[in-house]
Amino acid sequence: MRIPRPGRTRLLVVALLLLGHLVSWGLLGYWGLAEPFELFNLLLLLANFAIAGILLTSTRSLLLGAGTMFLVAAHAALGQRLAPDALTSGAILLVNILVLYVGVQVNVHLPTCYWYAFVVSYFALFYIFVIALRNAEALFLLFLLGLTACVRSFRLLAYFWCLTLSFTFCQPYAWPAAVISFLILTALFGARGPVPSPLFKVFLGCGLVLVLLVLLPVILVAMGEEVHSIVQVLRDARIRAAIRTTLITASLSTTFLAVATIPLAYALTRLRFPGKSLFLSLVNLPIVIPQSVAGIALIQVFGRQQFLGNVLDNWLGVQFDGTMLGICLAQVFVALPFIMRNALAAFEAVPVGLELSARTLGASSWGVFWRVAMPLASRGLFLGAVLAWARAAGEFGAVLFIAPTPETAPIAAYNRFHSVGIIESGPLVAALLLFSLAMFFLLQWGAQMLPSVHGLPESRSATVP
Amino acid sequence: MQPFLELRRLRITLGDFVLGEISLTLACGDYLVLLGPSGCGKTTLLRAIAGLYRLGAGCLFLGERDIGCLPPQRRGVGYVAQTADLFPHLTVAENIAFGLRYTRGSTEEKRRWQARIVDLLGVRHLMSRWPGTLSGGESRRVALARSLVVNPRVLLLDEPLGMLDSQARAEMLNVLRCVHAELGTATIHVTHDREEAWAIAGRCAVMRAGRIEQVGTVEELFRQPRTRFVAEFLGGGNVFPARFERRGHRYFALLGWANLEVTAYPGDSGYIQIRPESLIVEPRPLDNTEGVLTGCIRQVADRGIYRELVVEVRPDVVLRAHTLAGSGPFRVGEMVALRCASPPHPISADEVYHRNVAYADAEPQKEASKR
Repeated sequence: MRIPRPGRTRLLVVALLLLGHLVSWGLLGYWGLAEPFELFNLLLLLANFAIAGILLTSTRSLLLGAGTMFLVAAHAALGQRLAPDALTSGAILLVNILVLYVGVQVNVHLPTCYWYAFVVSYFALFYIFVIALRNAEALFLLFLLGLTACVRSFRLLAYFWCLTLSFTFCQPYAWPAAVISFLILTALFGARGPVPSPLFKVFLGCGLVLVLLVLLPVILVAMGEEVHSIVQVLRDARIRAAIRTTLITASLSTTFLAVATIPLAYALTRLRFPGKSLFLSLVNLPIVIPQSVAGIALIQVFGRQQFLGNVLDNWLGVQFDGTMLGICLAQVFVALPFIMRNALAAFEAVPVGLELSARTLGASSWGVFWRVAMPLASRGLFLGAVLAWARAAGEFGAVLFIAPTPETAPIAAYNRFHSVGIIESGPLVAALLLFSLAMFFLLQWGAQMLPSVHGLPESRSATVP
Repeated sequence: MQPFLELRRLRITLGDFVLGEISLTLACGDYLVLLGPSGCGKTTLLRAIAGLYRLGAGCLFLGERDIGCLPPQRRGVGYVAQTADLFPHLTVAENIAFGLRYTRGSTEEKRRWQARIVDLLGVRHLMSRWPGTLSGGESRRVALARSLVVNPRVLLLDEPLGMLDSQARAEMLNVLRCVHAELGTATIHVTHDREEAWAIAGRCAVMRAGRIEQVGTVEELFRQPRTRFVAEFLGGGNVFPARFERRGHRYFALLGWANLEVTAYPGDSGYIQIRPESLIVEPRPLDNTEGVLTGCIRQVADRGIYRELVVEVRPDVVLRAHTLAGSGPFRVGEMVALRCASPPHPISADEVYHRNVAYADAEPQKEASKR
């Protein structure tokens, strides 16, 4: 077999690397920073000589060989100072060589930016696992292999880093953090718009992170409770009564609000009259007024000792203090803006042209309202009712003042918190949370089934040409 | 024939916009095209007839009844809006049947009538679709079917061909012709496109800034525009101020740059319109005899079936002439002779026209008496 003559570059590179290894070996030994004649160090030196021999007597890849030699030399120089013992250092060296081979042999076609990303990620991983978290070399190796597998795509790399960071820095909540960040990333990567712009994606990403940071911990509270303790709480007669009261009063309030505000909102969107804008801003007032203030004000008007309350009590036998009716009164007051605003927007979105056409087809004003405006606004109206219902069911402040009994669910939670403390009220809080969430999503989903001005629910409409 | 729909001195005020006094009649089975530029009040007029706006003044008669004070649903007037305005929450079939519950008659009758309309408009294959999935032409046809199903006595169409591609326009035009031939519903068709008027109109009315300028057959409007606006809006320009003169039994228009013989004497001063298609272009300048103009070609534009030449007769006078496509090797810069095939039409001055208020108001009565 004929041995090929090594080229000049090859000779130079191999010689320099060998020289570097020898010099560092000597210097470190001289300064007493390493044991030059330790088995591991000798092995490394020997290995480099062997590789140099192979490189000079064959035409194998210079990049791979030189890279391997560099890794060996670097580990000989630094490995013992960073890794706790020779064995760990050797393992890291082997994995590094593996990574190098994967990089050069598998990912040859990748553009340079992927190499930069890899190098940066590598050192970041190294910092996190070997320096910041001491003695986590095994994890470092594991994640390094993951990195090598993921580096061929920036998306995969992003998922990889989300996983890594969730597991290193969000420790008690590692899984939720990973899932949330994966969801955000998926949303970001899937985002498409008519005008491509990175700004939208930045806004979307930052917004999602901030909003979910506030929203999700609340849901996690519910997830953290054990199922049987939640069931236990729901068996409690007092709690069940509170939930029943909440359901009844919130539904009554919402029905009253729907009957009162839907025709009113329709008229408001179709008419102009003096003082209209003033009235529209008045409608929003309950949002601005603190709930406790609203509750006290309501007592001052409808309380048994007050004029109006007295009149109503004497003439109609209607009492508000401490009755379901009082709860409804407070709920109606605070939930009014929610249904009103949605109803206004929903009717505003119904084109007047459709109503005019319906009139010429023979429909009266009532027919137009019932057969055109109501169906087209139904989704918005329903959503408004859902929000109003949710607001009414969750109302605490105003209800507390006018009717602390019968207990509604929020007041039951408050009382329980006061009497038994934060740990004991956990299951109740979780139960109420789950209950509210279930109701809300159910109703929201129901609203999607209704028609709207812009088109039909997805299940009913065919594709638009 | 008695006028069927009659507008008498109708006036509508919408904020700043005033729809001036409008008098118009429509005979039974008439097809009137209401032409006018955007914003002249065509749609407002239609909606007022349909009952969607309150009348400021005037009367509106349909047959023998004054329908000016009736709510829209009791007027018996069908209205198809420019955007079709189908109800998005109902299928095509439900859309078409929308008005049926308000009409009289047995269910069987109604069903038969609906089937006839549906077949007439060729929308049977669309019945189970949703409005959002229809093309422009399809939704117009459905909207038309929807308003015909209640059997209106007058049909008002607001730009039924607007925003359609040329093929859909031709198809829709055909449908309109068929429907009118079959049902004979008196129709007012609003448009700003004069070709539509040519294609379909029996009669035509031109509106400008809330007033009706002229009513007549399409032929009359094109050949004998009564005002400068009508001439400019319907024709391809070539309207020039002129003084008129009688010489024996002949009338002449003195343009300053040419003297042309005209058919009538509208007053001392006014305008003439030389219709572009009535100009005959000769490649070689003739001798400067009477009625022949010479000029230099400034632009040549092929418009498909005809070719438009812009000829500069004098530095401040530019004439447009239409010749057959491919006729003559006309080139920019060439000198040509122009001759009127028929004498140009004289138009009285606007002040004279507008001073003569009786002109517009007497119009319906004159036409009615003619019938």
